[in-house]
Amino acid sequence: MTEHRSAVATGAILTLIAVAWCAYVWNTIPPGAGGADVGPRAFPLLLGAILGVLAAGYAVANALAAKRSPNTVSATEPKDTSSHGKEFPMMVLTFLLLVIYGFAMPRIGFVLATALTVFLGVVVVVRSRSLPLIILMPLGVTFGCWLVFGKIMDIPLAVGRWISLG
Amino acid sequence: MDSFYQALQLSFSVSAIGAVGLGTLIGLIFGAIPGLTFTVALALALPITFGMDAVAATGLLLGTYIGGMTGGSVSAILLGIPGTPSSAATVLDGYPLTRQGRASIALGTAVIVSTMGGLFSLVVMMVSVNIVSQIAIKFGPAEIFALVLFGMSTICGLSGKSMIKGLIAGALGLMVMTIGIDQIDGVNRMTFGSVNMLQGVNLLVAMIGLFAVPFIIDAFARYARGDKTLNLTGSLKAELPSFGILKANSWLIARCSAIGTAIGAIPGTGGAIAAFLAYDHARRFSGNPDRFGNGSIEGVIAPETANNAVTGGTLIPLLSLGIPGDPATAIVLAGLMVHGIIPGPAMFMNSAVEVYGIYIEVVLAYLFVLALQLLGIRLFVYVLRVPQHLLALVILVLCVVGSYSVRNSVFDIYTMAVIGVMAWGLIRLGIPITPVILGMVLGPTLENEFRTAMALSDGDWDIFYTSPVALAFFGFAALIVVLQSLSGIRLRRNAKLAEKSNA
Repeated sequence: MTEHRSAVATGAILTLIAVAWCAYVWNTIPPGAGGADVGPRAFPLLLGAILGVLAAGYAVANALAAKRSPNTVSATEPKDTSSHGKEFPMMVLTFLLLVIYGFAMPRIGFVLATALTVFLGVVVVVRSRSLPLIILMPLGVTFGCWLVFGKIMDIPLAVGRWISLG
Repeated sequence: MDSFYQALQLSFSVSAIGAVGLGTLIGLIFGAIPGLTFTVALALALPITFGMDAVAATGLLLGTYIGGMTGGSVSAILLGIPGTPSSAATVLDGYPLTRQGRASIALGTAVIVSTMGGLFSLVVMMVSVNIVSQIAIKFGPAEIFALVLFGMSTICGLSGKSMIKGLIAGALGLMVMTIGIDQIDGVNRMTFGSVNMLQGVNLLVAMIGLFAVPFIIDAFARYARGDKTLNLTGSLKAELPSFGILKANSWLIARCSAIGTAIGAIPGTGGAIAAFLAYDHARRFSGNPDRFGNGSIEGVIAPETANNAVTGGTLIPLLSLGIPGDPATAIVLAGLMVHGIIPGPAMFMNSAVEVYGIYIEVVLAYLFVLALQLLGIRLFVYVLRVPQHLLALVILVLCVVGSYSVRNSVFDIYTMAVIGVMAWGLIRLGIPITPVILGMVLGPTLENEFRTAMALSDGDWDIFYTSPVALAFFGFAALIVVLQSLSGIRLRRNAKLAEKSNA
């Protein structure tokens, strides 16, 4: 039953996204000249409509299935019931790490930003209290990436506006 | 012939050989670590190729692809956990062999038959690519649109158990690729007034986010939950199978190579299906079917031959038609395009040297697989001991380096992060992400060819139904949809019957 409810909610959210997408497309993208000119609006609008129909169909199918057999697990497929604990906080932490990395890179340069991100990862995400790991991991990963990408591969790495090393 | 000699020269340069070797090593390591598939390796390897010439770059990508396909067998045999979906069938008999103390012979046999299957498929690919290309060169926009639509129909095969979820994922992928400046009219689409959005979503950045970020989140979550990391002790080596074993199974190897190549050539199938089909085929035609599942060497030979034969098979539609059969080849396709090699009917005309280069590099990659796996099996055992949460932290850094270096844009890092989190959300909701990639890769061509065809026909739809080739592709697409729907209905009916009989 819970699985059905989650599927109905997923379908409903996707339908709303599709409606918002279509409304934005309609208001911001000009149509074609007509006839042979399909125009830039046609495909995004068609795709939004397709998503809306599919998502609504998915929601309705699951809602009907939930009514028919309230005790079954899912209308469309047996779902993996393995534990997903801790995933949401880890998703938030991973996202924050990536955003901090992206924010720091143009300001303090690739070298410092990498060391900072790995340090935060070890301390906040991995929650390690091992001093060698806290010191060596940021230094090792930063040096390795700088050497491989910056020096051997000659890939341009970000230079900091505030401060820059390497 | 000049092109072939030129390709030989370029492929045997130090940088090209080094690139193939490095790619194979990366692929083997990523393939061997459960959860970290070679698709992630390919997404992360792409930025490394930016500074290389085209032949070395394709060598690195193909090496990673082939190494990854073979590397999955290491953890499948040693730990009973498939490193990649393609090696799932190998677990059935590979792990029992390890428990019987015969891991060395299982690993050695796996690497030998993998190479045989791969080289068989290469020969078939070399013969087929040119023939298919010569037919496809005559295609106009209507035919290409129909062909791409046929490619899109493979979403049904990549959708897992629910086709509607696969279609939703495909639609999302197509929608993402409409963001940015319209290629035909130059109009801004879905940019929300942001200058950064004008450049659209880069395919490579999206691929890194889609495949690597969910792995990072999963690895951190598993660590936070206290799930044990994988450990393996004991000394191991890969032992070559005797000539007698290979001779006794030569007919099985040939049949499984053919199965793998044929399955690989059908877009939307992939190594896992080929391996299970080959395993089933081997068991059905074996003199001792009861031994399967209890440590039969044929149970390792069949899936390992077939899943590596898939590598050549998938390259047939990729090189001749520009259609990727699975996410890994979609990344290879993106990598080729970055280096100015446009797979498709005109590839032989425009990039003959690179095509021959690809053939030579596939051979080189298999030689590297053979050497690295036979000599370096102990190294892989150490790699399997690295805690995954620390590995995830390194991969997070690689994701950022990869995303940034595509266009030297910090905005791409944020895009990768957002797409990665969305991919994690889709996976949590049971929506497959492979159709998203297919939509992203094929979407722009689908739209542009449709609009060009309509412009050429002066807005008349008959351009699509008067072309026999276009009609044939529409028919194939419909056939795939119908067959997949029927197979889904049959599976559900069998599941219901099983449920009733258990009750």
